[in-house]
Amino acid sequence: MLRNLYYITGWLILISFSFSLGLYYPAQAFAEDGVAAPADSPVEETTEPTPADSAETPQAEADTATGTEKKAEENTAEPATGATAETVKPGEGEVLKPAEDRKRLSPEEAAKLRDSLKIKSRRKQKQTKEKDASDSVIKRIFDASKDKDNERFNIDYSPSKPDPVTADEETPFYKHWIFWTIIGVAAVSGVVIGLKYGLSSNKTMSIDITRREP
Amino acid sequence: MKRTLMLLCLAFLCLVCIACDDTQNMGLALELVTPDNQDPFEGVVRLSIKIEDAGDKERETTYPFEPADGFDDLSFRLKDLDRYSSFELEVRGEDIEGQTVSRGQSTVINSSEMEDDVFSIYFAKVNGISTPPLSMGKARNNLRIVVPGYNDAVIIGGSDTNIDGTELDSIAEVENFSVLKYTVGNLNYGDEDLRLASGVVGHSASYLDSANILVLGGYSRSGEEISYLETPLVISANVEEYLIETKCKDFNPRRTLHAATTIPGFRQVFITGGVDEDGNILADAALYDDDLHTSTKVFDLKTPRRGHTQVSVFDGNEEYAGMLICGGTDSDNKLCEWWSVDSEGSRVIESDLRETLTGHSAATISNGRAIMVGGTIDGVPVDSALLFRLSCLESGCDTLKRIDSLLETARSDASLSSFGSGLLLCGGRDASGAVLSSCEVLMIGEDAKITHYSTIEMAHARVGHSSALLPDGNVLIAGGWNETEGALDSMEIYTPQ
Repeated sequence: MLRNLYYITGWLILISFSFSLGLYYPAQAFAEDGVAAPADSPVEETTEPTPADSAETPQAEADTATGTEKKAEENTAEPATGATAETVKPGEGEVLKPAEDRKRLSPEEAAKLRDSLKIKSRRKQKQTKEKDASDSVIKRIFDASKDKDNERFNIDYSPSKPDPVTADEETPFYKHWIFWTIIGVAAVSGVVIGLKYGLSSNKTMSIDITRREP
Repeated sequence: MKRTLMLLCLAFLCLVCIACDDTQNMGLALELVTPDNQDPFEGVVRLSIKIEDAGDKERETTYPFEPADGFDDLSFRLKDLDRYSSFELEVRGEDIEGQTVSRGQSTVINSSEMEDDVFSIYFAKVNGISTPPLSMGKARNNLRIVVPGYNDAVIIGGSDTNIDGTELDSIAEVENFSVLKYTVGNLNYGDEDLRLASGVVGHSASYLDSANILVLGGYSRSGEEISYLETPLVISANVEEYLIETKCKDFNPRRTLHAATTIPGFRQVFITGGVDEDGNILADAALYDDDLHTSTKVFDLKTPRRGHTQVSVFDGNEEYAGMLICGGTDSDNKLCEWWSVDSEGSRVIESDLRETLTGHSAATISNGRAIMVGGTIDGVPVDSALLFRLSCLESGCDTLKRIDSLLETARSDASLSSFGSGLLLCGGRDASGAVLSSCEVLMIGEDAKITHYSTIEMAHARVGHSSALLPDGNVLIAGGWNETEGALDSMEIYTPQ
């Protein structure tokens, strides 16, 4: 009886744990796809630069632009780099944030990330390649210079707009790892607590009976 | 991703640990204690083990156990037992016809307190007297036994006595018989053994609802020196102050052969009569109040009494009605007195019996009755009993009814204990003055129907011993004296049907 209870408890916990992980992984992959896909980038919803934004020092602007270019060169593979450069709308503080994140990656981590992106973003690569093929070299140069100009003038340095908040606002709550962690922990807790208190009346007690030696 | 996995793994491990910890099996151990002088498994073909919820008597489970190769190596496990927060466990040994031939019962066991611990059951033949593998630390004659609570019997006072009957030093050590563990040892508080300031004999010991024990009267003997107990003592359940000296108001506690009985529900002890240090027979009655720790004289009995009996009487609703005081007087027309709660003094019970009764034993029985068994009338041991009926006190029927030839052996100075629907009368002296080893079992019926059931032999003849009903339903007989062994340290146990 007691052994069965242990088995049932263990299996339920494992099932709920697996369930929460199973829900998390597809959601995470879906969220990554959504960020990387060019068609899904919310480029049209960027905010217009304010006078205050454009009043930043030229040195800061130059540093930021240079840093962005370096990050793009260091952290992205050739096809992916092209795709990223194309899909990220220049001139937005929000899109610079992932670039800053990537800056912290070591070369090994960057390589891992590239591999990961290769596997997970086949559709994204395919679309990027098709688009690359259709664009001429002159158009790309023109677009790049245009992007740099846009980037220079549209960078949002305002401290009143923290980047992570803006990034979080753009990610649906159900695609966030915290959400699925809470779901998983809650499910496991529910199962365990339910077993603990729901079956308490069936807990067992054993009595060993021996005879006192004369 | 790593953080997610780490958090989930930690949560998983913590919760599994919690769940596993709580679902651990509660383990208790029961030890069957068997007598030294009998085999309780003789003729037993089946054990029936019944566990009964102490809070709900209707909730019980019975486990049959049929041993294939006898009971010599009895060791088995009961699994899948529902959790009982507190329970009583009974073991019955049945013969081939299903009759119970052996029996043992636990006191109330609290599961959580006894987890991973051992509790004991004394398993012996029913309606038999057996010798447990226990003995007191000291041989004691004229000892007193008090049963406080559910798990213990406390043995107080007494004296060593020579084979020729010469009284030796009185005993100051207080011993504790644990019914829960079936062990005997000095009563201790923490690491300290309880010891009275001096030995005491000829005293009374009364258990109060407050878990205190009042030790009153008696004297201490050391060699030829005798000193009467100056102040009544309270053995308290309070560890910080476990021995309390109490006060007296208009009452001299220096006496022996007195009677002291607890008044149920009042935290008071009613004290009457006795003999003072000058040999005077006393008539005063006092009340000890446990809240004030003071004994106060309340009235005088109608006649001085010593060596008398005093029992509480309960009405048909089992509510305390009053106190019956009988015998111990030289006056032949004041055999018994009655003191009810609401009266200022006692009154003599009208009776046609004109006799002086002493050396008898008394017990309360159900339905407003009390019984006085044996004793000597005009110096001669008798085999009769006197039945008191509360219902006749006002109605005019015989309030005191004699039941002749109730006993198989006329005897005095015996011990008397009531158990369930029976009475056990043990030891004492017969008409020739010899100390008796027999016990007689009396069955209590309706009204005046009291009958002799059986006579059983103890391992030792005893007089000056004491007996008490234990919380496990057995009757303990301990100490005393006989002509061949002197003072006794042995114990015997009667197991009712």
